[in-house]
Amino acid sequence: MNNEMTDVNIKWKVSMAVSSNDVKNLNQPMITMMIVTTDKAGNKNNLPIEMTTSKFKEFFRTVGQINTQMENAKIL
Amino acid sequence: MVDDPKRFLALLNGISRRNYFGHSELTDDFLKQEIYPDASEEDFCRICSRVAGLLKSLVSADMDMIQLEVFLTAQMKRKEGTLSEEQAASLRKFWKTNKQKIHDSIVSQTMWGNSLQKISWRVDLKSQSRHAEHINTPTAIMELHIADNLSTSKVPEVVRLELDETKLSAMLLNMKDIDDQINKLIKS
Repeated sequence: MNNEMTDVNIKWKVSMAVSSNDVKNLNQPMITMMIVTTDKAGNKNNLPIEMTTSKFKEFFRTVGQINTQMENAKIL
Repeated sequence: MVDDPKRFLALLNGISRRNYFGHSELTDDFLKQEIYPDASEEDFCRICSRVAGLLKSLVSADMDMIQLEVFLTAQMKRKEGTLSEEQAASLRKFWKTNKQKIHDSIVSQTMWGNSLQKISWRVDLKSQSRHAEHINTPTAIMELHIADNLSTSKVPEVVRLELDETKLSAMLLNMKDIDDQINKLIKS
């Protein structure tokens, strides 16, 4: 298993789900992220993920936490 | 007997779980046995389709509490299948606690692509390196567990990312942009 990446790129779109078969008034923002990774051999891999806002906020918070930890690690 | 508010609430819960949360084991027969064992087949069928219909109206319009009151008043004035005061109270109680849950469940059922199931991460500090400039450089290692929404039995794909500070803050900045867009959408 060699999943180590040398480059990570994020493409994204925010869309609004307006209506569906079950719910006329769906009105729900949806986030689609395309994580484009490049491995050591230069192979590109596209990874699309769909998320609701709550899931996205959770992800966002996690990345924020990692960022803080990295800042702290430098001080040590 | 069919109008008992406790049983009415139980039936609401049962049908909503079956129709909106995928609990297919809650069949009509099962619900009848558990909630209305002594009702006639005909009475049970009537109340069952009544409850399913009421739920469908609430869910489809994603009614807020004000819309619900208007709806309930109309239902209590109907000549046929009139909603009793107690039933209306049960419905109000039910909707208050379940509106968001049902909506969220339906929304997640309309996503047919990949979803992010779990993120594991750790921060490493490179303390020894042949190249002096690497000393004390933090690296973030993230594992994204990506699940296929349509085939839940499939083992989630795990993607491992190694990011240095610059890449991680670029990612964070990107996500900040997304977050701003969402907030704008929710406000409008």
